[in-house]
Amino acid sequence: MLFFKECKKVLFSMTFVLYVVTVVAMYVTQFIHDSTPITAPLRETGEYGMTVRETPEVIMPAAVESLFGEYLSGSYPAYPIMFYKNVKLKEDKRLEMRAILEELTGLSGEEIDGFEDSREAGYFSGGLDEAGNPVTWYQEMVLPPYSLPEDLTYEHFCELMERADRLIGGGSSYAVDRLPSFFGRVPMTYEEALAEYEALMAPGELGKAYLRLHCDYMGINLAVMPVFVAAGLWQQDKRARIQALIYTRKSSGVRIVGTRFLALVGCMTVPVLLTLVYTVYTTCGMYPQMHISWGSGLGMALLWLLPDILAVSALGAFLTELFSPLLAIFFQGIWWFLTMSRTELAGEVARFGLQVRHNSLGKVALWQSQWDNFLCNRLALTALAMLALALTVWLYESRRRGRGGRMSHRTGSGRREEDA
Amino acid sequence: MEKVHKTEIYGNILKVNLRRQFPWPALAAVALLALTKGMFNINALEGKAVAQPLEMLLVWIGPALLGTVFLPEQNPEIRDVVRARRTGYLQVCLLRIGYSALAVVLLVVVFAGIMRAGESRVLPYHVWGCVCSALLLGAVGLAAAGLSGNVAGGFMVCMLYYLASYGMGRRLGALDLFSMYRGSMGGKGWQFVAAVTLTVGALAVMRGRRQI
Amino acid sequence: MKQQSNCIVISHVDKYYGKKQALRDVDLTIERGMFGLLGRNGAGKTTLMKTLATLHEKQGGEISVCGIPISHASEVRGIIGYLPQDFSMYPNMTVYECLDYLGTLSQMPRAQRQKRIEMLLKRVNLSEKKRSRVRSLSGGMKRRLGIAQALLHDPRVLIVDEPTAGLDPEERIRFRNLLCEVAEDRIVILSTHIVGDIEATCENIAILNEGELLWKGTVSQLLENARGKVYVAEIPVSMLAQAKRDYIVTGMLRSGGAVTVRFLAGAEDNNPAGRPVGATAAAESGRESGQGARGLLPGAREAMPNCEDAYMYCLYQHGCEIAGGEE
Repeated sequence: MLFFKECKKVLFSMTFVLYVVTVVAMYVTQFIHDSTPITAPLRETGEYGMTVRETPEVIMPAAVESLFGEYLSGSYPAYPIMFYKNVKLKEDKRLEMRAILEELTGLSGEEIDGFEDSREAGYFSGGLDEAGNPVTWYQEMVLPPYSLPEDLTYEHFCELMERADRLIGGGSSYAVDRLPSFFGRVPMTYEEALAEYEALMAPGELGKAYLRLHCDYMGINLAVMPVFVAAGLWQQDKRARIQALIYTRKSSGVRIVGTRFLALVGCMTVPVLLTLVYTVYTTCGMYPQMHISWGSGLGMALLWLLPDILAVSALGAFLTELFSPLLAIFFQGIWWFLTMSRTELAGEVARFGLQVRHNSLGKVALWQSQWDNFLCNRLALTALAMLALALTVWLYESRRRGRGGRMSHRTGSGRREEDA
Repeated sequence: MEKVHKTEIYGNILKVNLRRQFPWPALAAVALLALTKGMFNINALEGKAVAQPLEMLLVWIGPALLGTVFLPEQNPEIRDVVRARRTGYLQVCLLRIGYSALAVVLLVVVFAGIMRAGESRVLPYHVWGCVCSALLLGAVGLAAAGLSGNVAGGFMVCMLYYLASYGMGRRLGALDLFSMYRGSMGGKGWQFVAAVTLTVGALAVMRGRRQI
Repeated sequence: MKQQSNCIVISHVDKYYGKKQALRDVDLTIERGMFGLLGRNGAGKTTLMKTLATLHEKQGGEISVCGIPISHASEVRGIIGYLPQDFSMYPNMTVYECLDYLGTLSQMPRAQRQKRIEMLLKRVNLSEKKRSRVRSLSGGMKRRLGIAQALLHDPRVLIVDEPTAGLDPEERIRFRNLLCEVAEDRIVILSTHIVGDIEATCENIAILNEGELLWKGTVSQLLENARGKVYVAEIPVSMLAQAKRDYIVTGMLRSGGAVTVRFLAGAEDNNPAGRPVGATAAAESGRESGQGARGLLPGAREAMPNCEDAYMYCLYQHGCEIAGGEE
């Protein structure tokens, strides 16, 4: 049966073996390392972590400082749709931005532009700490002395921020719906921490929390590694295209590509499922006195991870079929890197994008507030996978029928010059 | 006379490879350089911050250039035809490794120049460190691609090493790709030694297995 | 070991892939002209060819190519031309660039390269394609480019592995003729499992099976060896299945309700492994009755063996399992 033949090809490929190694390594080094039982917050510690709150007194100074720094450095990081962009404003827009800053700081245009002791603000959010763990990190910045106008209302501030975001071209941290997550981080109170603990310990939530963290780590892997396996398998087939076509000449392109894709996704899902099972097992061991409900958590985990495997594999297959495996890897590697560097460890989930992150066992309310975005993100990624797969089938069929021009020559099939 | 002949031979091999093998890896490396410039703020950086764009993204020019050394002969039939010629395939590979390594150095120096023009305080050690890490990551790709006969697999092993370095932090010791970013301004020389050892070792094993 | 400057001497050569022995005590001398290496798929032909081309290392025995020990790989490569089974070249290069690059790798001076490339492209009828990319060539053209690259540095030994597989009949004949022409002043080793190619081109041949040399000699000796063992009979179609079970059928031609079968018989004495099928019993019964082949199949008559018959007979004679005649 074709499916099992394809599975055998996948299972015995070097790239699949390495894929399994990365899945296991990521699980063991990151997730198992984190597995210590959750305890109730202790009042006497005085520190209960951070939370995001829409507090104008916190958001306004932080956002203005950030915008001022970016204005002085002349570049504004933004993430329109899915890619990072370092925006530089043209003169007319720069003047407009300066006018916004004049209104926000009470400084004149000359005072703002005349300040020379500014060092560029680096709003990189994804560095590594001493132990190699990812952290948000801001570079030190020197700004001229200023203060926010006393009559500045939050509504008017939001209007100004919206204008600033439009000038940058959208997708900046000044978009009104992003202001709290970028600038509204405040320390948690004991009561909030306790409420969060209780929410976490609610029936059905604890299992989800562990699976969320599991998916967070595994997602890093699955957003890039499947491309190697997919590109390897498709390349192998491209090399042996003629034999494959003879062997399966009665099968349709849909069947051949679909079967191969199913085998690919199936094989790559198995090790992920096994780690999920192990998470269930270890978590049950950590809380022997509790009955943990796993059903919806496992559903969420599959909804989280499967679209990654689907999309990365399908894009890998498509780009390998269209160009070459190296280009597929290059593209996916870049996308992965861009996503890794822009995605918050736990915060707003982008409606469109490669990765979902929630690097925390807690923050249940935050996660629940992002559920719609999560669903949208995963469905969009699945749709992208289906589109890439459909295009792969179309390409495959075109080549098989001798169409595809220049590219078909690379594959060993298709139109060739006739003998003189 | 013999010397002139050899110069002409190796000159022509170099010329053909620069024209046919080098452009795509070089283009990928330049694209990575441009991407690093576009993605990271590279102006007015100091200290550890200088290492960030260099170690986190620019080092991938190593695999782009060195990991593709065996790519044109990945098809065994082509490799056999080349290997059956008087000039050994090993010499062709060494030539490619040589100019690819030079390109790594050149691109890192160019990038450092761009950073300096942006008033970042790039020290000679940053350049050396980035070159060493890029060469090591490239050597990992070269060795894995050469020994497995699978260039895609080579890149996968690079990614594994990169992730391991990211996740394990200083536990990797002198082989930590992000050591400058973590504040250490020493030990990159060991990465250079590791890169050379890995390359020579991989070529020796491939030679022993009659792959080159 | 013999040291000769105009022949290849292979002496007791062994080659292993892990635990599997691919060549077993192969002992052979190949002189100028066309030499055919015949054998089934997986017989060890390609392994032997690659070993001669210095691409594989032998584990035992000695090989010298025109007096140069095979261990002096660089020197040997200077005098051999190699065309692999599935010839392939850098797809993004033009035909001329490819040849020029390979000529450079063979350390040919520029002037000599230019002269030889023009001459060879004419000879293989690819002059008009010299600016075409390799990926745009048809299978036949690629094979001709393959032979051109193998002849580029005017080697004293040409090693061609399954050169006609996949070519159409016209291209195959053209290719065989070209090989014969170049074999006038050099050693050409042609490996194939297509017996017709050997018959049409080679004087001397060797047959390999499972890494062992079964037979070496001239084509006429091989034919002579099979003389008296090949029969032709016209039988009803209904008897065909039985005939296939009892004999090694090397050919058949249907005509209406009858079929003319060509088969081997009377070889049991030379088959060390024996063959537990009706052929032996039938042959014996024929001999006992004193009727020769006439007792085997109705109307059977002895035929002149062709190369295919002789090859099959040779395999059978050496105890090889032959499934060709059975269903």
